[in-house]
Amino acid sequence: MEDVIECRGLVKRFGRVVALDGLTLEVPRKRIFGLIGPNGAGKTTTIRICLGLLRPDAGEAFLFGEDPWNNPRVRLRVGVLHERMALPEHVRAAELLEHVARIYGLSSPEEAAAEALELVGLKEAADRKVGGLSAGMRQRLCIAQALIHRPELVIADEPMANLDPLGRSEMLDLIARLHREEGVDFLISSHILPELSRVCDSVAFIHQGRVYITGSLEELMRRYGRAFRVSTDRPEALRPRVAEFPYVREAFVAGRDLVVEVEEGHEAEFYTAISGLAKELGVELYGVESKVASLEDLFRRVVLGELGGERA
Amino acid sequence: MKVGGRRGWPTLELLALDLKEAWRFPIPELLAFLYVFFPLLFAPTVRAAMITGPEARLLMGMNMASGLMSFITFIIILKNIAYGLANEIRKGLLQTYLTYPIGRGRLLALKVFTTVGVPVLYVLLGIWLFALVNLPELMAEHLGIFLTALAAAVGWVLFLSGLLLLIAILVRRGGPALGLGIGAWFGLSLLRTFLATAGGITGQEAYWHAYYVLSPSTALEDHYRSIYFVHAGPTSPFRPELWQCYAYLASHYALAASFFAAALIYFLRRFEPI
Repeated sequence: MEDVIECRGLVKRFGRVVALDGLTLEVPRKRIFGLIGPNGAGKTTTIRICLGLLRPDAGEAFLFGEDPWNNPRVRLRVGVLHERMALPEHVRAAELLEHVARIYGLSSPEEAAAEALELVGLKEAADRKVGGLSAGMRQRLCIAQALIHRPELVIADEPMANLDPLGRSEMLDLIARLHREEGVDFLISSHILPELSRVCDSVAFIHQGRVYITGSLEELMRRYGRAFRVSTDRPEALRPRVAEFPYVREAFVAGRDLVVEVEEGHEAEFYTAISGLAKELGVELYGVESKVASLEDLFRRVVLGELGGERA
Repeated sequence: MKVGGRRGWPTLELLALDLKEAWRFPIPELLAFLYVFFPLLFAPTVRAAMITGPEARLLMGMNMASGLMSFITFIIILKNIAYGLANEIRKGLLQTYLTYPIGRGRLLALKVFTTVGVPVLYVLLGIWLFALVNLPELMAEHLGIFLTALAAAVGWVLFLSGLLLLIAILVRRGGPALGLGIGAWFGLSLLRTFLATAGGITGQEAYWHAYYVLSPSTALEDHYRSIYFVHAGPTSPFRPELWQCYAYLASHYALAASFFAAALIYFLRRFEPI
């Protein structure tokens, strides 16, 4: 089955700024895929290239297997939601959606517009001019126009921007529901990681124009998410011997603690071994704490170098 | 509901949306009133004009009508392109339109129609209405000259519009695009004045050829005036032949078309919204 998005070695420069530096990414079908990275990482540039809005300086991007720059009809299969998306200001909300429905060739534009407005909770604002809507309402309208033609894929760049906490929660519920009930795939870029972790099943970590790591969230958590924090008086003394344990992936000193990544299924074994090793080396052990990392922890550790910066 | 199921006209649908956004009450109504008002305003002058020769009379009338109309229309186009379109690029509306399943060429064509086509249609209708009210017999009798003069009257507006469009999509910001657009307008107007002056002083035909390429309606007027105003003398010592007037007009349109073509090629191949 073809990927919904495929990028190979994308390079994009804006003057002297290198926005993408050989980015390679595959977004498979049937996913809510999170594009994660700090501001300036290259998320928006990646999305804009995938939509055919920008042309890469090098590399290729495919949307449903087609070059989006030269095949505008491929966008019939996609709904788009930009951060701070601009809309015509002087038409009514329902009128705008009816036009958009006709642009996508829907058979009942009025019905589609009414449904879309209801979906995003804007039914009451149907007759209001777009320019008179609040920032949150405009964002909902943008969501409505992205979903009006029930696309196979929704590409959303910072979709939670401008929404209040309740709105963000409703947005995440809507994404999950559309994916579950209607099989809509999503590519969502964001730097608000706790919210993404609620809905995404796969992620790619982007930093400085490159994908550092990509995969299903479950797999990444299994690989990188389980860590032990060993409180001790001499973490440096413990580290080289701990790193030799066959089931230990990574051991590094963080402050006065030793952080140890352990393969799944070896947790009990590790508890026993670390106690024995501490006794053998005459090291004081204050405590061993197991924790499951958040998406934010994962990002920090994988991308910002705490695990040595593995790159896809 | 099936996407793409209805055999629709997505480009025309977006055009309808764009026209609603760009031409809101009371601008179209005011323009319509203004352009209908011109024929009545200038009617006594045209009827009282003592000009020998039907063609010269027709051209003088059309010139009278088109002068102010073209100026107002150009100001509107300047605002539509240099400020409106460039600001749409900066604010992201064009980016929104580019995410719809419509090709770039069609999108630019509909933007050109909204920003340039509509005002030019106003001018064409205004001049036609003017001639219909004031000079109906002359218009019917010399339809070829009427149509040529009509094309020449909007040529300068189209010429500047093409240049403005190119500037706007290259600069992509309202303020600088407006400044450069006004600069280009003044620069070209000065160039026309310089060419006419240099042609008059030196008597070299090359200056007049260049001048008439930039101002084909003047070439047409000079051609007919030079026939009928023998005693008053022609505007320029160089009297263009009719075939030359057609050549100037064709060159003028070729230049205007080259600006539009350059804008289209850039938009298709290189244009990236902000």
